[in-house]
Amino acid sequence: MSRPSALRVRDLTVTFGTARGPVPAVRDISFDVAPGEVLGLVGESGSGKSTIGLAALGLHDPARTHIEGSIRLGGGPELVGAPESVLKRVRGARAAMVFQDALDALSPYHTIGAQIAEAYRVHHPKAGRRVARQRAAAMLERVGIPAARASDHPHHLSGGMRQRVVIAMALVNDPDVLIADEPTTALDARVQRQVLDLIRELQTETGTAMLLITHDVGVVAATCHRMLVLRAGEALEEGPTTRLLTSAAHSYTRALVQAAPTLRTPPRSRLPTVEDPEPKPRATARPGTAPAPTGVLAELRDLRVEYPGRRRFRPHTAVDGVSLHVSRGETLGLVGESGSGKSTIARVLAGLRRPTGGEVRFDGRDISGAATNARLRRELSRDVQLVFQDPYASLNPRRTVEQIVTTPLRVHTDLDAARRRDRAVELLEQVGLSASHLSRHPHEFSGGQRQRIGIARALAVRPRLVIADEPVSALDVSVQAQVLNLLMDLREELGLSLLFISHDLAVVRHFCDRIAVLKDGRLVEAGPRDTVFDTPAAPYTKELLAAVL
Amino acid sequence: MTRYLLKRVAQAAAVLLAITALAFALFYAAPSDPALIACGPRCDTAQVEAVRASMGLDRPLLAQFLDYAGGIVTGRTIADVDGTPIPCPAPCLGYSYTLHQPVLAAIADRLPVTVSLAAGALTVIVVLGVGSGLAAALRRGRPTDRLLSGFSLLGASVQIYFLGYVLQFLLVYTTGLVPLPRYVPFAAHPAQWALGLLLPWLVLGFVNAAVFARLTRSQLLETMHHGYVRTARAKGLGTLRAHLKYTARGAAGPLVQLLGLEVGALLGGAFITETVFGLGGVGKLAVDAVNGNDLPTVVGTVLLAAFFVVVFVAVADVVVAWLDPRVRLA
Repeated sequence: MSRPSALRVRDLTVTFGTARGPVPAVRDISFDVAPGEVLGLVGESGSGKSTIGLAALGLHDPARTHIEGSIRLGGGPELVGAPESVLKRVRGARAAMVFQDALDALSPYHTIGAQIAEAYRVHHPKAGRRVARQRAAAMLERVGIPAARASDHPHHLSGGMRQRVVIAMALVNDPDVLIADEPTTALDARVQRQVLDLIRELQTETGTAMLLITHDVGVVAATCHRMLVLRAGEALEEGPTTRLLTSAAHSYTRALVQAAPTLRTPPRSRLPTVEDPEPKPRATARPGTAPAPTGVLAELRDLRVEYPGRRRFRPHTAVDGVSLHVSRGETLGLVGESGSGKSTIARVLAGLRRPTGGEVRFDGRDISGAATNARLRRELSRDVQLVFQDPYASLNPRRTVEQIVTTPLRVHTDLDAARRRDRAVELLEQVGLSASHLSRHPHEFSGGQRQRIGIARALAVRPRLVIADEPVSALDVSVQAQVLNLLMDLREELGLSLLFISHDLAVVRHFCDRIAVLKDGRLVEAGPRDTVFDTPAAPYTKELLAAVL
Repeated sequence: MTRYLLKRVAQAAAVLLAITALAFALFYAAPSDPALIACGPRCDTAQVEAVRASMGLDRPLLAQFLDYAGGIVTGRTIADVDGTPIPCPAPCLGYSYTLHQPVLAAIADRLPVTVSLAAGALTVIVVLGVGSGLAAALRRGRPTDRLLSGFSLLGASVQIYFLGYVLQFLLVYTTGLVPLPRYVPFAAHPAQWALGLLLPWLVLGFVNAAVFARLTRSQLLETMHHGYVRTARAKGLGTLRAHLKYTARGAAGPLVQLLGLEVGALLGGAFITETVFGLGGVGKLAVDAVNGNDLPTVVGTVLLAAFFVVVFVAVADVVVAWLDPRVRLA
């Protein structure tokens, strides 16, 4: 490379000291980022990508971390092993960081204006408060926030605006290198698009070199010139984004790229995973079609759900006049941004939330009272089971897998302990685990395995409707593909009816037969998959589709 | 913020009114007859009735309560046993027929002792508790941390009367390092004031510091791992400055609330400490009043303690709201 690089990393090795001895997080990583260039650091959780970002600013706890190798900014001094006084001058001035979760990254105690102004004054000690305030106001305007909001606290802002504030704070000193660690992961698709566009625009304008850390290949495709693929702390493959996306040398990279379904993936096809990069289409399946649905299983009519307001505030309407149904043997996809009422609808159908108005029927029976009637809810839970989003929070850490999976059997069937155990083994094998896992506890499993346990639990009593609320959104892409493949197999094998809730349009398109789009508690559009995706009627659906990376 | 402040003051006033009513009810639920006590053992029935009338005890309960509550706000005139009128200016907490002085005056005589004791003990609590919690958090998992945890466990488990007598024996009688505790007014002789109260301060402070040390440690460790502290460092702030400006502020809320409760409780009287070291503070007054059936003084001291707790808890809440803008919404 002819130009001097803005960020130059050589043989970087980071080791964390833990109670059980040293654990290597990153091994022998080398890369360069030229001025004005965007390098994507791509990998799944545990690949070490965030560790590299933190090491570049020397933000690791030196007592617990051992760093070797070399990190330099432009022609600047060596940063590995540099004293705090050197690092302090670099941090926020020559290299700045945009963190993932803006709500956590911003202080709840200070106004956004003060936080940006502070970042400026730290490196411009001679500048007065007034100058710093003006500078902060100008930065806010540049990221699209009115300067008048400088005196707001972070909790007054939306998620997208908070992320803009974090970006303004990082760019206030015109850094040479910007490190963005999953800058849009916590955001809805449309907001993600806006924020990514903003980052790219500012980055091009200032000529800052950028290191973009992400698990999302779509984000890389939209923003990065080059990408570096990491796996388990080691660099696997590096090259121009376009080449790696289309013809990667390494099968892991190919699997990573293709594991996440896009709007062009054939629906209902098997997704490639790291273990199985080129899956054969299922012999029994007729790709792209679903068995013809026979009759309505669950139905909502003009559903209205309000959450009571606090004190004098008016009640909040979460669902406002939604009518939809799930037919037998069909998968209905429920799509919408956060706050659109998706999960509330799931809770109503599962009998966990009493509707404020409207009709809720399961198999023709009125179940709107299930939330307040313990007997009705118990009967309903025989037929309707849930798979939850967070595989870490939804399994009781104190119970064994056997206890977790057999609890629904104990409640709903008169099987004795031995037969419950037999059924548990059968279920575990169905979801790709084995009998040897019965006596283990949830913490011994990975996120994907835990989600399989959650699925086994939901299937234990052979429910007639399974409600899956964002079942794959907390998982890494390749694990997401495995779980989606599993759910597709099970659906076919058991003839399940599903309500599948997701914010990810590509996943919904891949998995579902019919789609319902929600916005602010109202139904915007509903119809067969191909109709909604190929010829969307509502402008909002078009907007959502346009934001998919 | 102003709205939050007004709301909090109204709440505090309501709680105080409720406590006044409760304390007053207690006064009348007590099995002893105030008139009989006030009159003395040699009174005959007619004399007791006369005293009852002059004390106003024959009037309806509600009227008496309104008199009492009104007296707190505007002051009133109380009849002594023999009917002599005694002026009792606001805030009037009644008249002690045992001490032959208004309850407020009795409290006022002893309050300097309690305030002095509380002030010193609080200093010890804050310095020792917050300091050792801070040190433990910064050296988590190392010997310093374990040693300090051991000390705070000791402080939490030891009783004041035990520690008080042990230290008094060691420091006063055996080595003579510290003089026997006594109260000298601060205005009269500041050095002797401090020296005379040193031992009670240390004992009361050490025992109460344990809770603070533990809370400080856990709060700091929790806050330290918040993203905004890392953000501060990523901006270029030094570690110490980032901790002082962000970690400390994040950790302060629960500590301020506990401190408010502690200040209120200490100002209401520290009976055990006062007894162990023979100091005549409000705590001692309250217990003497209970023993001597001096109901006006009992109610008065109960009210005073409640007043301090309610006021300082409210002050703490306001400070927390000032520290954390999110609290003001709730």
